[in-house]
Amino acid sequence: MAFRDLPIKRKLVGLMLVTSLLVLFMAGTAMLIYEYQSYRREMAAKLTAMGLIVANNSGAVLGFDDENLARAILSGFRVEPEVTGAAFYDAQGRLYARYPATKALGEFPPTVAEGETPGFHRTHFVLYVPVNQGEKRMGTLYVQADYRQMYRRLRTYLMILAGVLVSAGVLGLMLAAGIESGVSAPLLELANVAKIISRRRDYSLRVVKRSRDEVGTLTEAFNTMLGQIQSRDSKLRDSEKRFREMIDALPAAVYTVDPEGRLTHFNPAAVELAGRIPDLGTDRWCVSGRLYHTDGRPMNLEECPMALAVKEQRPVRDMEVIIERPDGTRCWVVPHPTTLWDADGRLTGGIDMLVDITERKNAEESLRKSEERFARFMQHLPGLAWIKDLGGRYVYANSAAADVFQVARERLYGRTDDEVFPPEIAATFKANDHAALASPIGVQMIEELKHRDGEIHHSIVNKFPIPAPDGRPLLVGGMAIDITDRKRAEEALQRSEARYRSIFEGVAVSLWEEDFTAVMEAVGKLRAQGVEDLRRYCDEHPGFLKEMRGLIRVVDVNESTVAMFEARDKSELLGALPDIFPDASLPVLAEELNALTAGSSFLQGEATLRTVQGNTIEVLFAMSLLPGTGEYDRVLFSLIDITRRKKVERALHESEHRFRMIADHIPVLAWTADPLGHGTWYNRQWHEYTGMAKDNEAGMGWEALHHPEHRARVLHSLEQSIAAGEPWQESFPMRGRQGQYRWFLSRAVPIFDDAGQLLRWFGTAVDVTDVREAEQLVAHLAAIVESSQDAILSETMDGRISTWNRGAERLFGYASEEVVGRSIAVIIPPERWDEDVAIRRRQAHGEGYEHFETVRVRKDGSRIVVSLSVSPIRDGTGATIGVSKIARDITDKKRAEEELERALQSARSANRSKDEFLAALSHELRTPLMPVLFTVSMWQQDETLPEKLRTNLGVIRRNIEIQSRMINDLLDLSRIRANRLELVFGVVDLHDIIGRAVEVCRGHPKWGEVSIQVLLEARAHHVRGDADRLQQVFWNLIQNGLKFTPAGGRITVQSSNQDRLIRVSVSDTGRGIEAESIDRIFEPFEQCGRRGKESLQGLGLGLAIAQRIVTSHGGSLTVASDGENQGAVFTVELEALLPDGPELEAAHSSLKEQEA
Amino acid sequence: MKEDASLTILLIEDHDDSREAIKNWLEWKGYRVYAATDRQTGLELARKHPMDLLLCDLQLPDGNGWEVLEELKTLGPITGIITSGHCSGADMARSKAAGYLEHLVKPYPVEELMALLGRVEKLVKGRKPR
Repeated sequence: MAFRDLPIKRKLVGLMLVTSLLVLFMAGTAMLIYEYQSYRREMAAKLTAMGLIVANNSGAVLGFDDENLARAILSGFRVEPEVTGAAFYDAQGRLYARYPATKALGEFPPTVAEGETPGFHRTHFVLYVPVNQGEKRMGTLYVQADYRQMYRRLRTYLMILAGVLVSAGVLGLMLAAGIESGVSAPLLELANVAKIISRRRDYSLRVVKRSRDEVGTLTEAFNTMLGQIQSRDSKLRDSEKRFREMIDALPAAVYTVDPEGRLTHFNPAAVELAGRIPDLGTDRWCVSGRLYHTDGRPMNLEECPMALAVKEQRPVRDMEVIIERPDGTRCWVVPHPTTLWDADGRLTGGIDMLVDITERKNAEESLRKSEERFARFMQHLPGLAWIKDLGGRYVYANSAAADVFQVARERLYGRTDDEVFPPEIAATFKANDHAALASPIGVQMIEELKHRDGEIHHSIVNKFPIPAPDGRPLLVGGMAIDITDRKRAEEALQRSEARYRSIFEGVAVSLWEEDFTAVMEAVGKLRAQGVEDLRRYCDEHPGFLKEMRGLIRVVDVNESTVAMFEARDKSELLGALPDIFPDASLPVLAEELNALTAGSSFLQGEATLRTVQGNTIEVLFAMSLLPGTGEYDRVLFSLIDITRRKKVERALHESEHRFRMIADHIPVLAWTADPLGHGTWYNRQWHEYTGMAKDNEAGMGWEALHHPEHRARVLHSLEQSIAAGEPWQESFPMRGRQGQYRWFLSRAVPIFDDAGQLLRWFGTAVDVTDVREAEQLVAHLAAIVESSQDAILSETMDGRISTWNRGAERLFGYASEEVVGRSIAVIIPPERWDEDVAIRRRQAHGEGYEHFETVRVRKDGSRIVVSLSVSPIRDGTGATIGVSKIARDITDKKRAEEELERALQSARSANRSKDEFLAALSHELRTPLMPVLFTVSMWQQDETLPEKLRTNLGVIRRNIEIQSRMINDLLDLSRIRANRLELVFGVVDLHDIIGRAVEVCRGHPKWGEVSIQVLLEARAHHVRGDADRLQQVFWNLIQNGLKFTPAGGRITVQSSNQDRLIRVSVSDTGRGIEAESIDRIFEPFEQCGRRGKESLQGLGLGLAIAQRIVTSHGGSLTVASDGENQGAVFTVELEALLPDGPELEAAHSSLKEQEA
Repeated sequence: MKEDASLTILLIEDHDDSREAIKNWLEWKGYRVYAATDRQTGLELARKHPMDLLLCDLQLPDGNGWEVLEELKTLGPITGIITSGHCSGADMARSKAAGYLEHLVKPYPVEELMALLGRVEKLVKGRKPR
């Protein structure tokens, strides 16, 4: 530990001890040294003095030579403990006497002369004193002393010093304790107090001032500071306390949080709101309540307004939150979060006040519900309802009221009767309102008002005051029920009742007024028991209807009834009721009950009843409910006797109905005609087909429907049949409603009565158009199929042959009779049977095949290759019922194709191998030329060789080059012949090419002998082509010219433009070409017309190749010559690129890029 | 072999007589020539001596001239002239694509080769200014 870090106490003690001990030590040492020095000095002085004394007194002794005396004198040194020895030497330096006598002689110096030097030695002190007697030297006294005495004293001294040091140390430590209590203790105390204060934050603590020194001053200053802090702290605490008290006293829940959202304080209201005592350690914002948004969605605690306010440090206002307590109850609160900052602007947390608005919300909600209920109630009130304030202004009206007042509700509110109604009505209403206000329970009266229908309506109106909470009237309520209709109905009823009575008795039909009340009660009971189907119940319980019959009370019958039922008077009739309504009529009663329970008030039907006399009568009855006092107390029955009419009707109806039914539903046109043939009736199908109107049917001329071509024939035969009274049959076209004609097969048969009298004709016409057309179509198709050269056959879905045409007979060798009905497998090779199954499966999905190549077997077992087209056969519903196949024999075609393909293949491969061979050959031919060419070239240029040899070497070299070129030409030609000349197309400047070609010809032996003139005059001189090949063309042409032009001749190469063409002519003044040869000049190996020594050079392929190259470029190479020795002109024509064309521009720009 | 030869040429040619003749010619013309019969030997030579020009036959016993140039280019800048007994346009196009300056069809006149060497000399001078 560094000295710096030692406690002050130790530092002080250490310093003190070191200082004091050091001082003591130094002092002790100084004294020791001084003591040592002074002792030595003293000893020297003492011994010298003693020596002198002894020496002075010994002169005589020596003179007397008294040895014993000398020894005695010497023994006087005994008193000095330091003296270890003494001796007398005589004048000659011989030892005379010594002290102590026992001391060995040798320990003394043998002679004085040889003696040690006097003075201090390391271990002893030596003194020589001369012994004189008078002036005469008698001898020498030798004294030797050691330092024992001195050392003893020094030891003692040292021990004392040590003792002093130790006691000084002890004293120092004791003093240090004093220092501690005086200096460091107060400081420690100060520090201790500061520590306690900082821990407890109790600023009331003070440090006791114990001295007036610096520590005292420090203590004082510290206490002063504490005083200030305490006063500030107590103020702060007061303020905090007040703040907390205020918060605690607040009726709203308040809590504070630290910036991390941990709860730091809460008030009692918050405890109430949270429904538990929050925990400062764990709870967070909103006292960690379960939160919801006002629309019921759960809210994340970390998104509550307080959290948002603290985290985002922005004000959060007007956000309502629902907090759910642990017991499940909910509070609707409005948080008022505020962030808290300290003086330095640091966020220290937030305070949130949660104002509980649950009650308000509940009140609002119940108010809203109550208002909604009120509004709904009012809207569904059958009458009018409204409320006015004391000033007569409408504050509420239901829609019925608004409707009757003929004012929209929003316009009604705030207005008074004066503004809404005519003055006199408004006055009445106001007067009634006043009356209502005057009465605590309100008033009832009838008010009149003209309604929308323009009539005055009467309403029962209740008006009543609506009091304010203090009991005084606040509003006037009004409710009205329109009684106009009821009033009218009552009046009408009275009138109708009177009328009814008079009719009831006077009418010719039987009228019964019956009371069904009891019956309906019984029925009602039944329904209450759960019986729903009354008819079934009646069927299952036959006794029920009988019982019901007994419950019907006949109120009244009229006179006509008495007559109808053959009674003498009403009483006889009413007494015989069970006879009149026999059991057979009970089902009618069931119907009646059913109708009544179903709520219908009218029923019509027929019933069979009995008269009082026992005769059966059939009646048509009508039941209707009359308005009465109860629901079913006045059921009116009217009965008409239809007994006779029914009988006739029944017979007639039956036969007619039967006939019509049949006639209208048979799928043919049908008609009847009178004996003379005039139509009397036509069936529905007839009308539908012809489009003739129903009401126009009797006697109309259906002749008009006939086709003009057939009319005469048909009518004639019909007339004959009618005249003869014999059945008729004819086929003819007849016009339909759209004007179309269809073919009908018509028949007519006469109908006779029992007496054999012709009653009428009954005719039918069947539409046979489709049949006729189908027949024709079938005939056509059959003819086509039969005449087809292809085999056409069909098979059923199970693979049986169903049709087989003549083509099939020819192709497969089977006659139709032989194979129809047999499996298709007879013509399929066994290994391909699966194929046919697959075909049929595919057909079942409605998919066909076209020109599907396969193999079939003929009857004779030979195989044929056929092209098969397969398509599904469908029935009228679209279902696949079979497969039709068309097979064509392609065996020969197939064979031919295969042969052709084989031939092509071999030709191709032959060609390819020829090419490859040629390529290899040319390579092999050329390779050996290389070393020769190089070696010859080298020698040719070697100037050390003789000139003549070098010239000859030139000949060798030229010929090698020619041979190489010939090989090239051969290869090119073979390529051209195989159409395998490869051209690499690009934009080419022909002028450039020509220049290069001329340049290459420089090596030609005739160069210099024949002048070459180049006239490049074409403006557009670019073409699309292969630069190397085109160069080859011009090189060939110039070479050719050089070859056939004698020395002194001239070759002219000239370019020009002709339309879109560039024309390059190479003309020479050479031997020209004979007319008969000019046609063959471009043929390979042809050197026609140019025989001579020149023809030996080359194979004559150059021109042929040149022409093919030009042709491959889409151009032309032609030759012209005026004959022998007239020279020749070769002309190349190629399509030139336009100077400003896109291709050329692109080429230029890419050229520029390359240069760049 | 001249010490101040203007070009160092790697000649790869499998036809022995041709190789000897060309080598003689080139050396006679003052070029420093390293001759190889196949691709592998050529590559080894090129690794030992920096070459200015590759004069290479297209068909080699162990590869082709296009590959050789590609491999040599990884060693340093070099100009290539390829020679072959075939003169197919496709081959020539491919030679250009492989980076060869010229594709000469054998047997080519020495003048043609000399003209090309003149061009190459200029190129090489531009490449390493002295």
